[in-house]
Amino acid sequence: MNMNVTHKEFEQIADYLPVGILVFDPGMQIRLWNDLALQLTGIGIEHILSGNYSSLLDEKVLAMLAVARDAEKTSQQHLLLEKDNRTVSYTVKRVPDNSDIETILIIEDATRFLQIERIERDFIGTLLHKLRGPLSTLKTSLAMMQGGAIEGLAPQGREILDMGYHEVNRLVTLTNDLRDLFLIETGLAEKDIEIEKFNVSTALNRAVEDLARMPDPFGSVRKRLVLKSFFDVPVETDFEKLKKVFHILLKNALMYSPEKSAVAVECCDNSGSVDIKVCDQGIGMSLAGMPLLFSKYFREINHATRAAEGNGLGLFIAKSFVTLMKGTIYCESMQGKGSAFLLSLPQAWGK
Amino acid sequence: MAAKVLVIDDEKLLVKSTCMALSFYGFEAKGALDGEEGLSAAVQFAPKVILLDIMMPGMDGWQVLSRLRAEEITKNIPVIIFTAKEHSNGTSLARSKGAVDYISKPFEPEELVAVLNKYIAA
Repeated sequence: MNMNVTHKEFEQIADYLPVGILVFDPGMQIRLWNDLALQLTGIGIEHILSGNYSSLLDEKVLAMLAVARDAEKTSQQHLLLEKDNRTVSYTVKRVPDNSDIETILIIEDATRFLQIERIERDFIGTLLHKLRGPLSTLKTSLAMMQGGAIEGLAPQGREILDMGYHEVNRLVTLTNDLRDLFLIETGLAEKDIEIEKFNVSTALNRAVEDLARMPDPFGSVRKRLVLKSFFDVPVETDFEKLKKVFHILLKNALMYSPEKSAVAVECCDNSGSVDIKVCDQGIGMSLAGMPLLFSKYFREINHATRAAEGNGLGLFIAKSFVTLMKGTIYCESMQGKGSAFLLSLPQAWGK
Repeated sequence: MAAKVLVIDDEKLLVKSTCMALSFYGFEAKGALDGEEGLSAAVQFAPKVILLDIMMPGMDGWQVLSRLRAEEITKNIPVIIFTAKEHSNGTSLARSKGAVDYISKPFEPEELVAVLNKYIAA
């Protein structure tokens, strides 16, 4: 079977592609093209035949082509350009060891795609921000009633109130987790990094304060927390993210272990890195579940986890935040014995 | 005498529920729904502490804060800002902008009262 695609055959196929393609030979003459490429660049057959196409391509695209031409090996470069209210994406690829074809330029109209992405981002960002107002009102109102603002509430009324208060707290947790997920997935979390110098205990204490205000099993965090070989080390990292990681790890430890069992936190200075360990005496993880532990929406389903509430986002957020802080996190666990999360962070930022 | 607290936020019900919670905890609370209203209430109501939202349409919280600081009569009133972001040194960040402290939404009334009491006792 002859596997060589002829010029004509290529042109027939190329016109069905959703992207524009220009193929250059080693002398940088255009050898193959499709209609979409000509439409998107304004290059005409006459320019191809005369070899005078350069005035129709942006200088930056020409520069990418020159880099590809002079490259020793395979290479790929990418660029987005705005022109006449449109965003066009240019990808230049260098093909190795081919006497006729050396460089390929792929041109794509990314306007619509970027528009949709922007709309999506604005929509979710605004939604998550705007939810905070009404949630705050609900939380304050229900907390007030819980605190005894209304006297003589019938037992049934109290039960309904407890339900409402419980659910509003779940919504607050979910909104906060979705906001973090949104920041992680859009790459905004990386831009959001704010480096500060503080002691590990400051972030831990702030997470404990937040949990202590929640109903049990979290409310009893102070009674169950044991600081075992905890050396309060100064660290240079993002405070809010470390606090959130502590919040997630402590919350899981409290939720998936017996009522009064201890949750131990260790911390030490390990020449340049801060090593932190959060251990519980809980239900532990199954061997099958371990590889999926840090995946989004993953929750191990068994009798104990079914009763506990969770949205499957916590450890995914924890892992993403630790990675953004240039650290590592892993878990050691044994079913029925408990889990230990080991966290290691660089002590100084940028080292 | 009950300590006076002024709440400036464009969320109408959030202002109402916060004011109700504050009176429940023994404060005398008043709400303002935008920067202008907040500035005049700061003069007339003469609160002991001001709670101020940052993201408001029209005049935002930072602008309100700088106007409060510029007026002789309001320049010494402690301002606590509502923010979504937290910092280990949240207090010092708030201070660098002319406020005394911060609290992030959604908050528990008890959390708010604890922050307020720091500045009312002083």
